[in-house]
Amino acid sequence: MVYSDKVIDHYENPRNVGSLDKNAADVGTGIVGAPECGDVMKLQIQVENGVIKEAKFKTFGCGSAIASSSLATEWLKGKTVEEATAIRNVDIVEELALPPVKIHCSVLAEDAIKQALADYKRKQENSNV
Amino acid sequence: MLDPFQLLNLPRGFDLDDCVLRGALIKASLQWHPDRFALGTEEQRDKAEDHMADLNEAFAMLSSPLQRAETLLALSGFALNEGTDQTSSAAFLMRMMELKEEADDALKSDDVVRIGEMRRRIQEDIAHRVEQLRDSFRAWKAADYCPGTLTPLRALLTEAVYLQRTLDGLQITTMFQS
Repeated sequence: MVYSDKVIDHYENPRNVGSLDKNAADVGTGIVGAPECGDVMKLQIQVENGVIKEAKFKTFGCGSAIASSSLATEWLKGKTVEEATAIRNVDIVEELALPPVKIHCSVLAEDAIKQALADYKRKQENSNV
Repeated sequence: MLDPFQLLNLPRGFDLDDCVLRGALIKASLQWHPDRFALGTEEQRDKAEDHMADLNEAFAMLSSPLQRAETLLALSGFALNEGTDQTSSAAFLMRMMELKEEADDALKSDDVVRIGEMRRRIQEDIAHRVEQLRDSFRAWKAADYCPGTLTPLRALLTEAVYLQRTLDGLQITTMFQS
């Protein structure tokens, strides 16, 4: 299997690696895994006035999983929470030219985004009560 | 899907002695080894080769407790899902994240003692889950293979698979320099 240049670029120069304070009210955290490959992916967003100001990830997995989450953080920054829900794994597959055997890596990234958004929304609702 | 228990003429179940498994492979191989068909027709030779390949695959599918557990679930139509994990808790995944960070650190440090100690700890963790899996498989059988009893079993196996993959990645690779 040959990785595309974009995957290699994200793998060698991952964007936005790191962590945000998962207990902060303006931070949403998504943590997902895929047991078959043993991958674990953490994706976090920090929201200010409905806009994602900061996005960080940490992924233990193959090149495609790292590239998918790295790309996801790039896309998330600057988007509104509403816009972010529209990111689909097929967009990641297309951008990174992932082969069929690596599509599940993009699904993992989409699931991590969804979880992070849901976590943020849950915190917002709780604080509004 | 190929039924490795049937192919190797073994009773279907989680408990399987390593020695018995090896014996079963040897017994089946004696009958199908391609060398026995060296003077046979091409068709016979092909058939023997195919069958030997199946036997080796069957052996691999049963060769470790975790592999066996995955095989048993798949044979019953309850294979672990591929793709995103829906069974593990966020707390467990967070622990896996921390464990992998620690493993990464240990590997970078090249500290053989630390890596060895960590490997032992993970192996113990896996062994503990294998024991629990054994009980879960018994409980499943006792419940007449009721699918409802499988939920904790699948969760256990999923956790054990993460641990095994982490262990697989925690190897000291020796580099030879010329």
